[in-house]
Amino acid sequence: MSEAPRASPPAPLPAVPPLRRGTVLLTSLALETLPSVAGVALALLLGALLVLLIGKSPLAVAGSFFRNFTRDDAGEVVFFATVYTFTGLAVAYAFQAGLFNIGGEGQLTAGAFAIAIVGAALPESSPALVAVPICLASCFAAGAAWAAVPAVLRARLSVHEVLTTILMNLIAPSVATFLLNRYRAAHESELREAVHTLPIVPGARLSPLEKLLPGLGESHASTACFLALVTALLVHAIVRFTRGGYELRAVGLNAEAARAAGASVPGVLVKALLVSGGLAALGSVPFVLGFRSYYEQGMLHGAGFTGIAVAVLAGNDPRRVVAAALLMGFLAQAGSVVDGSRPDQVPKEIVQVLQAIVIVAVLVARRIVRVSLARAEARRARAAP
Amino acid sequence: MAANETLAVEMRGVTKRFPRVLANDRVSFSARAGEVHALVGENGAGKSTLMKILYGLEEPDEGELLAFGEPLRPGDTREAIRRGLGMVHQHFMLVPPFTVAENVVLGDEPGSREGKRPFLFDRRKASEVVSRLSRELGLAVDAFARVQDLSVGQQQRVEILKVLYRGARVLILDEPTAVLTPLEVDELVRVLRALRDQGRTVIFITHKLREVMALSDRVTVLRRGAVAGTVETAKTSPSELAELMVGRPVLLDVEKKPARPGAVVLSVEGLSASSSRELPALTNVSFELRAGEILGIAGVEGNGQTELVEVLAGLRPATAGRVSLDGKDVTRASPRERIAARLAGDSSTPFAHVAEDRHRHGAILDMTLWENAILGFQEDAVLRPTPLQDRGAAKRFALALVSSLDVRAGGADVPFRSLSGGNQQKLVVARELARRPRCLVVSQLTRGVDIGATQAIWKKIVEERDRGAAVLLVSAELSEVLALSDRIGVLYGGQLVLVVESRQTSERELGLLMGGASA
Repeated sequence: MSEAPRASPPAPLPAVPPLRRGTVLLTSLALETLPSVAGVALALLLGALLVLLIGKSPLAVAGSFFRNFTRDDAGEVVFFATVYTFTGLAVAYAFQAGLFNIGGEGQLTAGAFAIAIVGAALPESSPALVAVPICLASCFAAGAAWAAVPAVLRARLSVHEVLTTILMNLIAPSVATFLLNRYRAAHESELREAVHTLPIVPGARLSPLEKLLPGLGESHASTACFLALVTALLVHAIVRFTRGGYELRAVGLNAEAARAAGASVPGVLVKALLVSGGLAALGSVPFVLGFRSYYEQGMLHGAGFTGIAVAVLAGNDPRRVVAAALLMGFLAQAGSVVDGSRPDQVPKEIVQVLQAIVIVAVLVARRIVRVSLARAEARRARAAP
Repeated sequence: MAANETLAVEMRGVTKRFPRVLANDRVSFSARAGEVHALVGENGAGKSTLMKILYGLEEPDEGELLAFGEPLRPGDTREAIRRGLGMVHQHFMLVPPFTVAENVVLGDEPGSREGKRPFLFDRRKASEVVSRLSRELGLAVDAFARVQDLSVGQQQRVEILKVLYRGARVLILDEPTAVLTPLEVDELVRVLRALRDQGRTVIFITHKLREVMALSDRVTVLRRGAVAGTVETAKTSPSELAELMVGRPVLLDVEKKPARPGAVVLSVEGLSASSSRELPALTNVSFELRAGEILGIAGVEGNGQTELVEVLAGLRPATAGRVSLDGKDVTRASPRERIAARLAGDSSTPFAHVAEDRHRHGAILDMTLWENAILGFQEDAVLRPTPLQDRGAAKRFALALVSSLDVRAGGADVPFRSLSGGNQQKLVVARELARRPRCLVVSQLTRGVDIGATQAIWKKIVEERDRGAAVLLVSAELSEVLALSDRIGVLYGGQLVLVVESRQTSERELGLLMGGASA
């Protein structure tokens, strides 16, 4: 070449008529929103059928749901959504590198335990500006550490992360129980019979959301929800606008090409899984810093696994993870609202079934929308002279 | 001959539209019984689509199909097979661990119908049928051999047998010679002629004019989805066909001055490497490449070219030997170490590599054009490597690449996948040339690229040589090696058979070496 391309000015491009911006916007909107709406509608329909099957009236159950859904419940929805945003972001982030991190459960446990221990060990008078960041950092680090073994095994030896992360899930609660017992033995005088860690220092506590938004009613929701929102936007920005995010996606979409282009694929994979583990661990923040102030066994309710569903619903888009987390949070709380044996109540397991149906329905609807859009495009091309 | 006038298949006014592309525009095509009919055209001219429509894999928007004078229902492959059509695809659809016989009967297995066990697969009967077929047709294949142990040419025969087993009287072959050695091509020519002499019709898709001239009775040329002409092969010439394909006169060669080789840039000594299946693929290869020359490596695929190029690019470890770039040992250097360094004093880099398989190593189809344009440049000073990507600079860089090789694309933001194969390759080549490499390794440079784009890319490669780059050109296309190289080597069975001055050799000699005849 006589001159490097960087020196030459951008040339006018041969014209291929681009789609009008409005059309593009509409298409992407349809592609993203329509399937979700249709999927949820379909799931509700199937849910109603299920309620009929166990001999209750869907209308009565719906009625009692609307009568009994309070402001407190709205707060709980936010609480669950906060947790699910973190665990959903974890799955969505790893997916950018082509990794399927289903170890959120274990990473969450590691984070919850670490944040509780560190939060309790801080000086009693620590100000929030010091205590909260230290807690967050130790939480993230613990989750990353829990993901480190699968990360290195995957990057160096190509051991599949699905196997290793799921096995790490099984190890985490046992290790936490072992450590908790040790911890209780060491702090026997203060803890007495309690089966949890010491409470975290006041400075590390996040204030309840109802203090900021009195309209919400009493709930477990805390300012952690803002942290979740900011994290989602941050993850989106990292993936889309940074060099690291570019390499991350390149490795996820075609690792061979990324390697040929000089990217260190093992390095990218390790970093991706560590960050993913850290994000999953942050899901414990609403529990320990917001709601309980200590760690106890079984407090996390499978929130790590729900993160997988959230990421799937969101199509692994960090921004849409927030919306998907809200939906799953809503369904989680809806279960408790209608739970019972009265004629207008159903077992909350029904709603858990509904959660699963929503995911399948949204995936099916997304596929259908995509195919029909392609068909419509083909028809338009045919109609054009 | 009256029989020759019978039309085996006929397509009338066939139109097929894909989103934003008119693949076939009122195409009328016919093939006579007992003829070999070549269908040629540039990439994207609509050859494959047309044949897929004939075979029922695609449904036409308009037009009608006839087989042996009777209407043929479009979009119905089973119907097409029943009516005597068969298609051999470019990428073989065989089950490697199965035997030849098992592969041939797959989908229509003989059961022990007369016996008590109609649901059992009668393996012996299958082998008998297949052996008989291959004898009758002069297609020598062992019915009991496993497909994974066969050469590519033999596998292709299995594909042909598969089609004949289902009683095909019209055989459609999509780029049948793309993966064959010149000797295997000769064998295929013999087989196809034998099939023709039995009264069958052979339609083959190709863009190699040499084969059209050697094999076909008639040729139909497609250009941009429409028929540019149908001619008797005996009454035409390669240059006339090329002009029909491209729509303007084309040079089938590239103009270049004699090389003025300089210092040794790339030196390879006793290099060995293993294939992905851990088998020895490259044995004791040594050569030197000088600045300002093009060394062509000819050879049929699967003889070590992939491994050679990957070792040079740092994508595959060498099991023995040494690779030096500008006197520096880089045998163990990573791709990043090879491509990232900037030479002091100017903007050139030591190394660049155009990968054999652009979809695997050269590009990321699901990213945009600009994201592909900066692949490998993500840490380069050109794009100001701050943690936040400078998208403006990246897109300007992408558009500069686009204009440097006349890539046809609707802007920097289009998905890379939406570009045609030729335009994808042009962008990849432009990107690698933008490194201004001292050593340029290019592999299967113009695979799937049409004649017009091939000309443009060839010219760029010669310009690189004249700038002083040392170019290693690995290609399965003999014509490409002959057109560009200053010196030529042949890889066969993982060994570099010889290196000669290009004007001291002939296509015939190289063809023999590629097939394993000793020098």
